[in-house]
Order: sequence, then structure tokens, then C-alpha cells
Amino acid sequence: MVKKRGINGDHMKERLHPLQLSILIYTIQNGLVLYSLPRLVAEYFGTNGWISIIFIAILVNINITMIAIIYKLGNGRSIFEIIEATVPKWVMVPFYLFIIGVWIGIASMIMRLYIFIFKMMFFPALPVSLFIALFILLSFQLLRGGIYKMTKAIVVLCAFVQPMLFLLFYLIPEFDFVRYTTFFFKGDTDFFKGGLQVYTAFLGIEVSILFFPMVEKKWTKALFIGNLLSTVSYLLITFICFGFFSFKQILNDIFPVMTLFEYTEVAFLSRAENLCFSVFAFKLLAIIVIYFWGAQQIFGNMIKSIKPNFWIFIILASGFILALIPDSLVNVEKWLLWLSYCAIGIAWALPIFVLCILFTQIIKNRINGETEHAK
Amino acid sequence: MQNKMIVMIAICCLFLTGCGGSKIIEELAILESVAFDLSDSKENPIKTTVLFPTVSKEGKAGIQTLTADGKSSHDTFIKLQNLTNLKIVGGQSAILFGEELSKKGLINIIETFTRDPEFGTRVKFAIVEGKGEELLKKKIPSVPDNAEYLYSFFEKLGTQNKVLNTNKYRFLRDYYDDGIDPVLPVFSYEGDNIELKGLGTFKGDQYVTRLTLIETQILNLLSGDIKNGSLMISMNDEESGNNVQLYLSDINSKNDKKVNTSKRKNMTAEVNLDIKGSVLEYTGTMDISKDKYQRQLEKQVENYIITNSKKLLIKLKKYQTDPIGIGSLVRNRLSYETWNKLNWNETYSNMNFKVKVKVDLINTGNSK
Repeated sequence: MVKKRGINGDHMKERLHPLQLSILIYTIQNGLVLYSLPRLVAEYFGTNGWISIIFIAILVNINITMIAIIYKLGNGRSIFEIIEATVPKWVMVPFYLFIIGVWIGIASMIMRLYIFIFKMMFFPALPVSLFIALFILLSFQLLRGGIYKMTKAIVVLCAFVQPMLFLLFYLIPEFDFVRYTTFFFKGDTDFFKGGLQVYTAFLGIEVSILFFPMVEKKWTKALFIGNLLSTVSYLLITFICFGFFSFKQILNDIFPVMTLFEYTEVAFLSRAENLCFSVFAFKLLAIIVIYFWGAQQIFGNMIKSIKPNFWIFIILASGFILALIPDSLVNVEKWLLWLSYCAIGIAWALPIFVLCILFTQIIKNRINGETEHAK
Repeated sequence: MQNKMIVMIAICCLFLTGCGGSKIIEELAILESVAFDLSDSKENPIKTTVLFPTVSKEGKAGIQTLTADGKSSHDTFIKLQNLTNLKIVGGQSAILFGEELSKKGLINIIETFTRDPEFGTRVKFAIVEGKGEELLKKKIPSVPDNAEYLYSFFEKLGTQNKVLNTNKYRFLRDYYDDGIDPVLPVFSYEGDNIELKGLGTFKGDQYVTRLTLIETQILNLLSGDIKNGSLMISMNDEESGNNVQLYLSDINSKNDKKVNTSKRKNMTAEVNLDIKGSVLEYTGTMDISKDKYQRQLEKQVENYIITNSKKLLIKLKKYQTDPIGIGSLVRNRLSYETWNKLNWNETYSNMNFKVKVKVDLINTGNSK
């Protein structure tokens, strides 16, 4: 019996609870950017750059609203059903493949970036391939469980990661409002590029467009709550960074949040960044798995006759190989940046595209209805 | 079964990742303290001295110091590796800078630490009068390990005096901030002991002047709020002219700074101090258990703090160093463009300072 579970798609009968979903959404938003987020906002938005996160969060909310509208207008149909009712599948295949490629690429690059940082900061002798294998194996286990089991696991993993936020309280003695300066968005700024980079911190949420068949009816509020949680935690951390570091110090630190956690010292714990970053692997696992899961869903939709496990093998194998390719931190960051730009493109283009199709369908239906009525 | 296999493999992977590199503690030289100095040779300008504990086969603990000259700090570390059978690894608790080197500028050396994750953000920094090398190599009979001694010294200073609590993070924070200059404690090895001489203030990354211990106390008051501090006051009695010692403890001080930037050429800054403390020592002739004389003593303390603050501020202006952070207050009153166009050094030298002090003696101790 155990063997059958999750393979034949039985899990899909169980639907996700909104609370679980909001934690899932919060966890799958790309948290690795968080470690450099204060520097990114300082670099591209200048002094008091932390405020920019609010603006970007508004953009993300617009993005989610589109997804919510699709769910409502589509009456809970999956986006594949919506798209394929109008556009033939073979036209969509290249686009599907592109999305799959980007998502698998992003997952691999995030994984590799994490390992690079881990090696650089803590364990220079860490064997990369073993570590990637570990991630892939865990992803495999999670993916086989299907979205329902995955979500439950991710909620537990999230509980490991969150307590580290409380460490921030230990930094209050060093906090000073004078360091905020009274200047807003001054210095060498590049709002567009910065906006894109900060947006990557919210990525991951676009995969939720595939959740439609697996969720309870009023699930869309979970999207907003999850995103709000991310926004609040990003805001909190960048806000503290700007009062804890001087502005130019943030610019000179690749991972300010790492330094932030490094400085916390409790009677039983010093240099907490090591622990925090290790525990952060759980959040990372969630991000990686959800992208792999997204890719698997699209594959599964393209060719329905093949078992899901086959796709999981294909996805994980390509993810493993991709993760082995880059050989320097700069390389990974460059790749990740481009893939993230593509992912932002997907996050906006896909819902807009589906919305257009929905509108044409609705208009068609109405015309058909009117003509039938006229008869 | 399949599940269990995969979980087993995952667990194996997890543990195998730990086999990448091993460090055996007996084969390591874990640096406790490092001192950087200027060397005599032009080719290898930086002299690095390291101190690390050693354990002999019989289990006897000891310390060892090594010195090497090099072109950069890491160049000297590589040369130091050739001087010992142990593998040198980081773990520093204290880093010392020689006086000469500090006067030339420290940022090149400190930036290497920021690049290297082995150096924590809480690493303590200090300046040594003379050569840091000499301080680490100094033999004091009752002190087996100078580095450990220094570290506990730092810890004590940090709790006693806020401005003396300096580490890598604080130094870099103030260095990168355009409105404040960093400070580091200054130690000396001249006498029988390792001794705190005062506080070295910086202009950018260059050590410019040393404040005496009294000036350091005043700077501490001017910099920010204090909880449970202490203050030793040595003043002359107004009538007799005799020296009077007064020791205040349990000081709680509130600090309020205001700047007036309306006149660009002649800005003013005002520091208001509200000090509450108890008297633990008083060698003067007044009967301070009486209210009237208490008020008089309070006035004397106020005057003492005001005159010493003024002296200190004049000294700081002379050396154009701003460890109090007046610059950041001025910056926050101006627009971005004006602040960037402002010649801060010149403005700072022309600034007028006002210090207002209010002292309340909460109690005068046990004796009447």
C-alpha cells in the first residue's frame, strides 16, 4: 500500500488548508537573497533603501492578485485546462519547456549558491557533489509525497528556520537611529535594476499558479498572507541592518545578514550565523522542491501517459548535473540573476497570458450565449 | 523498503559531507592574538607577531610567539607557516596594532579580515604604544598567557566604559560612517604590567591622538547614555586650593545633543548631560551629608565636567577627529546635497560647542 501512495495521484483528493498554504507560500519565497538583501537595497536604492521593499511588495501583490483573479474567473480549473481550451497544446510546448528549463535552472543555481556560500563561510573542504546529492535525495522523497505531503513537511521545516528571527533582539543595544540618516534614496541608485533584484527575493510564489486543483475554495487569501509574512520579515531584517550598520558598511559587506547573525552573542551561543545558515538549508530545500514540483506538473501535463516518477527522475537528474556545472560564486550569481529575470518574466507573463485567454473565452461564451438567445 | 533505503542514503550523504576536511587540535596553532607592526625593511613593510597556545606530549600547556615580515598581512601568515610544525588557523580574540602602523592607516589590514570569514566580528582591536610585538612577547611573572589576559582586560573595559568597548564591527561601522570617527583603546608595556593608557582616536583609518584616562571618561559621558558607570574626579578646592578627590559610582547619565546648522560657517552643537550618581569617596572638607554642601558639591562637579569637556572638545577639533559623532547629527540636519558639498573638516574646526551639565548626587555613601 505504501508503495502506491503518491504515485497514482491519490493525494490530490486531499486539499490544502489555507494556513498550511500561507506557511508554504512564505517558505518558498526565495530566502537566499535575504542574506544580501540589505546590500542590494543599499546599492540600488541608496540611503534608507529598506523602504523600497514596501514598493516591491506592492508589485508582488499585484502579481498575486492576477493569480487570484484567474482562479476566480476560471472556477478552479487548472491553468492547463484554461489554456488548452483555446490554444492547441503543441503551440504551447516550447513555452512549457522554457518554463521548465528556467525553474529547474533556478532550483539548481540556488542550491549551488547555497553550497558556495557554505563553503566560503564555514567549511571550505565541503565535498560539493555529496551535498548536492543530499539535496536531490531529500527533494526526491518530498516530491514523491506529492504537494499535500510536501506542504506538511515544509510547515515543519519552516518551524526550524523561524526562531532565528528572535536572535535579532540581541542586536538592539547596538542599534541607533542616527545611522538611518535623513536622506531618502540618495547615492548611486538604479531603481529599475534594483527593483528586479529585490523582486527575486519574492520569487517562488509564481509556482502557486499550478495549485488550483489541489486547494480549498478560499485559498487565495493564503497567498496574500504568505507574501505578507515574507514582506514583514524582509522589512524587519533590512530595517535593523540600516540601524545596526553604517550605510557604507552595508555596501562593503557581501552578506550583511550573515554579519548581523554573526554578531549576536548569547550566553550559550556565539557566532550564531553558522547555525542559522545551516538551518536555513530547510527553507532552501522547500524552495528547490517547489520549483522541481512545478516543473514536474508541467511535464506531467505535456505527456499524461507517463508515470510522474519518471519525470521526477528526469528533473532531478538534470538538476543535479546543472548544479555541478558552475565553478565560481560570481558564475552562479550571474546565472541565477539571469534565470531570476526570466522567472520574473514568467511570473508576470504567464498570468497575463492566461487572463487574456480567460477574457476571450468569457467574451466568446457571452457572444455564443447571446446568439443562442437570439435564436 | 525503498523509502528506508533512500533515507539511509540521505543520512549517509549528510555524514559523509563532514569527512571533507579534518582538523586535529594537537596539530593546530590556534591563534589567540596577533600583533601588526611596521617593520624596518622597505620590501616587507608589515611585521606580524602571532601568539598561540601549545601542548607538549607530556600534557604541559605553554604559549609560543612567532614573528615574520611580509608585504601584506596574509603574506606574513604564509611565512609564519614555515616557522612552525603546526598548522596555523584563526581563532583570534585580540588583534593589536603598533603605534607607527596605526598612524599610517589600518584599513588595508583590516579589510583583509573582513574578507576572511575566520575573523569574527567581535574580534577585539587595540593600539599598542611602541610595538605590538613587544607586548605579546613581554613576560609578566603572574600572567602565563598575555593574549588571554588581554582578552579579559577587554571584556572588563567593555562593561566598565562604553567607548572602550571596541571590536571589529564597531571599528568598521564608525570608519565607514561619514559622521563619526572610530576609537581604539591604547595599551602600553612600559611598566611591570600591561597597562591601559587611554583611548586612541582616529581620523579615517589613521590614529591621530591619544586621550588620557580622564579625557576618556569625559568622552564616554559626551558620547551617549550611561548606565551604572563610574567617574573619578580630581579637582582643586575653591577656597583652600587643596586637591580634592571625588569618586562617583552608579552613574546614570542621560545625554542629549542638539546641533544648530543655520549658520553654515559657524555651526553650534550643544550637549546636555543629566548625571545622577552616588559618592563613594570624598577627600574634601565640606560636610556633604548636609543638603547645602551637597548642592555646592554638585555645582563643583558640574564645573569640573564642563571645563574638562571644553578642553577635550578643543583637543578633538585640533586633531580634526570626531569620535562623539557630531558629524552624523549635522548630517541629519542637512540635505544630501549640502552635506556632500560641505567641507566637514573645516566646519568641524569652526564649530562652537556648548556643554550643559546637571548633576544630582543621589546619596553620599555610608558615612556621615
